[in-house]
Amino acid sequence: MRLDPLLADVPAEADRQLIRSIAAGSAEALADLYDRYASTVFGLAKRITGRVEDAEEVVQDVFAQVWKQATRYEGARATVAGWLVMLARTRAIDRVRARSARPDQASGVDPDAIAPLPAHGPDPEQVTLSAEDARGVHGALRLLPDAQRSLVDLAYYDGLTHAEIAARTGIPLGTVKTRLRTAMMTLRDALVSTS
Amino acid sequence: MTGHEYYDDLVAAHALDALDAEERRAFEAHLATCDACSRALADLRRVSAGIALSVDPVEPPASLRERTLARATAQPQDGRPVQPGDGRTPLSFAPRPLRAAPSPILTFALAASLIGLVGVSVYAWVLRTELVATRESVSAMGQRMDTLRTQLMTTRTEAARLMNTIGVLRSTDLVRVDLRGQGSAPGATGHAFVSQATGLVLRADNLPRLAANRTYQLWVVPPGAGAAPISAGVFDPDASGSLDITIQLPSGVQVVRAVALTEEPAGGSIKATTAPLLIGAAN
Repeated sequence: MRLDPLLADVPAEADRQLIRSIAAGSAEALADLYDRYASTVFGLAKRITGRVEDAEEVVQDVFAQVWKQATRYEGARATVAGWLVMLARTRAIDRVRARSARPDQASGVDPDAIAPLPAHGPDPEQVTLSAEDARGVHGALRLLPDAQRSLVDLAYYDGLTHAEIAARTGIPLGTVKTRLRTAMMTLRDALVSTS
Repeated sequence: MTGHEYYDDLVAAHALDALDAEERRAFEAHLATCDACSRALADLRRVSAGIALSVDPVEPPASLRERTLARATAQPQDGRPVQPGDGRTPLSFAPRPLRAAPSPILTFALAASLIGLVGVSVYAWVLRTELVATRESVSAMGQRMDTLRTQLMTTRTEAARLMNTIGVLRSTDLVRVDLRGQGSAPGATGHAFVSQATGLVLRADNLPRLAANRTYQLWVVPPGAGAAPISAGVFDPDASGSLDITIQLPSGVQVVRAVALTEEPAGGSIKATTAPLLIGAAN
């Protein structure tokens, strides 16, 4: 069970203290945060981008953004781990979309600047997720029917819109929407704490 | 589907970032007025983070740590312009507070203090001058670093693209597709090399220049009667009408029966809306 090392006891308050130290300009605190979460961010980025070099860029982007925005982090309830992974997912999806859409346009242009449809994920600072929640979602994911799980994967890891999923799989758009919704509701029911 | 059920679908897709731009705008407009959707979205955002945390961690290369930390801390923090001695590294040369020396000779003490004050003021002025010079130097170095970083990123991107191209062309399952122009692009030509394992390399020439709000979109067609073309991205040729691209095949695509290029509205289409300008079947 991979969740155990990370989430057996999500050190939520310790993480928030790290963010406060980073906001105060502590590079050591950023290094601590890196040591704690780099493998999580890298694993997710590699899963989404499929490439080590892209995943490395995502890791750099995420921690650069944490450094930059720590001063604006209002995390009385937000979970730092949740913030980091949502940042990582958004950055990774942007990178994949930029790469697949305009690989010929890259010269002289930052890949981040050419994403045709940047991922507009949720505002990461608002993610509140307890260790129990994360464990619940993880367990529920494994129990999802394949027909739903595969669509969640296409949206989540391939960054496809539901219309693109319908075009890719040949499944009618209405069915795609219903399955995604059903899957998300099932996963939501696995949340323990209230938001 | 009528009423609020429509938004119930959208809220789930929004949490997965699976709405297209138009739907997203519509949903976010609705969200501003709907407490139920706001609450649902808050929960689904947590689900989304939970999915991310379900991915197995992978240890990154050791060298990444130093690069990441150096790049991150080289930039200013929001609301905190980078300044030497802005609190994160207290200036050690700050003048110490003056204290009257406990001396029986008051005038001497006062004179000594004044001299000390003048001395400290001169010292502070020297330090301030040095500080200004240091700031300018740091600023210039920062700009230089930004330039170098941009160049490095460009080079890396180009190198990665070339490596991908070589990877595709070396594949053992390589299939060649010769494309011919038609419709309003009779002079266009193209050659594609497709590998199921590593991707697709395409070179096209003599592509007509499109209006500013139009773009070229590449499609791959899977085998089977009636199989719908699958978008492989939108592209803009260079000024001479040539296109050089290397991409991965859209996921799920196993075999490519044909490759086609159509003209579409900027941003691309879900389905091709015009007849191909360039098309060819796999040999």
